[in-house]
Amino acid sequence: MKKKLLGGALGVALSVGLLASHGWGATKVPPQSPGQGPAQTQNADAALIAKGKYLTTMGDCVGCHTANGGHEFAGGQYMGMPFGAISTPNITPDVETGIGKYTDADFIRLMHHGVTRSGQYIYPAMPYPWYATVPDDDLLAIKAYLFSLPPIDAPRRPNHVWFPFTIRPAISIWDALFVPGKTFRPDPRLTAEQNRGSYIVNGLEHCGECHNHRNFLGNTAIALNVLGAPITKWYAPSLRFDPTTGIGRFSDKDLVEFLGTGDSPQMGTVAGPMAEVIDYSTKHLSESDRKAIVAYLHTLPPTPAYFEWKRNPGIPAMLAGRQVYLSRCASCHQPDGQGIPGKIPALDGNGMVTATGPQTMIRVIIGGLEARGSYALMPGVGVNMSDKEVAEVTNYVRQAWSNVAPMSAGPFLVRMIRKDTHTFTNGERPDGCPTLVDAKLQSVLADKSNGLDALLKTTTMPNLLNHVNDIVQKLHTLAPDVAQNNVVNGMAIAYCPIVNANSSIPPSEKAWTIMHFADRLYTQLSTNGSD
Amino acid sequence: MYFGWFVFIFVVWAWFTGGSIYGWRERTVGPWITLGSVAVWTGIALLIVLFAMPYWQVIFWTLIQPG
Repeated sequence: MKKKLLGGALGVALSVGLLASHGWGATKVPPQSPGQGPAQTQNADAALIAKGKYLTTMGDCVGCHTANGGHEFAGGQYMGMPFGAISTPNITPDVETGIGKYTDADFIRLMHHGVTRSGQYIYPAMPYPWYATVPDDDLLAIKAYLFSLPPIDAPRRPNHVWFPFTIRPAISIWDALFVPGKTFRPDPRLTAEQNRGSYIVNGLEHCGECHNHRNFLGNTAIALNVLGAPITKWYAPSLRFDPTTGIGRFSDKDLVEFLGTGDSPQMGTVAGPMAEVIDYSTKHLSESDRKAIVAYLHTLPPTPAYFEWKRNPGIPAMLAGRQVYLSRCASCHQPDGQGIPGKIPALDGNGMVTATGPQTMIRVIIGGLEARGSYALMPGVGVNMSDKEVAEVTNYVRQAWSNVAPMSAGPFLVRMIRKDTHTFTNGERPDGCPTLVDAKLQSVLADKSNGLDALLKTTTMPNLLNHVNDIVQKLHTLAPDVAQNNVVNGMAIAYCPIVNANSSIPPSEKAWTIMHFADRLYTQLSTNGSD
Repeated sequence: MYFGWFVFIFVVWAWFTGGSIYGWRERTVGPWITLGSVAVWTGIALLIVLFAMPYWQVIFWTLIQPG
């Protein structure tokens, strides 16, 4: 009996081991290629490289494979996971630290199966389950483009992953369950445009990586395709065309414009990781591809993301939230939640407000939003609010006017999100401020002879109006081509360390001081047409 | 990360639960006391793993998925 039990246990262990080593079923991993160097692409033609560049942009590779302030594609960014942080690798053609030794077969194996040249399984933080549908030709175009980039010597930063998630062979079981074994095939029932949209949405653009519901193993189940899901303490809203819980209330023109700029008259401005997706990826797609995405989304059933339940506005939770809204939010967003067209986004029917989960709204209340297009910078009003107040106003707004989203925000969730939310006073730099990325503004501020730096350093609340006037005048001369939203964001970032170093400003008022400065600057810029 | 802590907790848990089971085999204690003891030690080990280390976050963000 004992021998039988031992034999059975060994059998199970061996089976699991074999599956772990080789995967099974549809996702059988091809062996490593014997080649030692890149098989092609050193002499790839310009057309192939151009195609690869477009597809690389579609895949938003640069968004993850570039550290803050680092070389493009040289990796080094940490991806926050519930079980630790994974550093992204260098994907420039550097032979030692990048993908310089990858042959075509190695590259395809990596993108289709998530296995590196050395045979190591990679974490599905890299969306290879989505790239698995991309045909070989397109992947090789991407490789051609990456190999046309200058090689950067950037060794991989160490992962900080918690045991037992460090057991990489276990990933092969996950792969066998969830990585599709075939590439994209056009659906004969769809038009060419809709099929193009399907190829983009379900392939390189990997929209479902955020917008699909995740099962308990962290896989984005296709059955709930783009119906919305929580993602790294944000909430990606439903992309179904339901008018109340999805994007059905927005016109196709608005959606295409939103994907192209990150803001639109009906939808307001983008927030969270989607801002990065738009800035690095969708805004660089052709208009026909952005229209194809919208055309494909129209083919999905307009399933509601949640059960609509309108709460009584007289209940205590709604009354408390309304009180916070009127005192903290209504001066900009207006008591009726309609905002100010082109300047302040409406909250009535706003996609991030009506998402199933409240995470994005909580994040924005606490962290604020950068200026975008003609829209103003939003202060992180939640910095000076209690967790309870943030939860109350979130629930109120999600149920006010025509909104019928669940009242699911609570103080505990707010506390969890607050810990990870960056504001203008807890950015990632050592001085506690965010990084200024606009190169023109960087050079203008670095030049002490123009007086801008001195003007900023002496700006206080009593002289704010006069100093902002002078700053705007100087910027008209020194940086006339910088867009209004970049000026507002950039100058607020430049003002941040000055406020942080000023001991006469109480810590609780530092964020407000920066936001007040940014608001004054925005008002000044937007009223004299200097965009 | 946390590998050493996992090993330490496992060894301590195995020592205590193993002792409970050994006591049952030796007829020192009855099956219900053994079962209760194993459940208590397992519960304590789980609580330490979940809350002394931050594994509850995996459950919170992956399984519960607030919102």
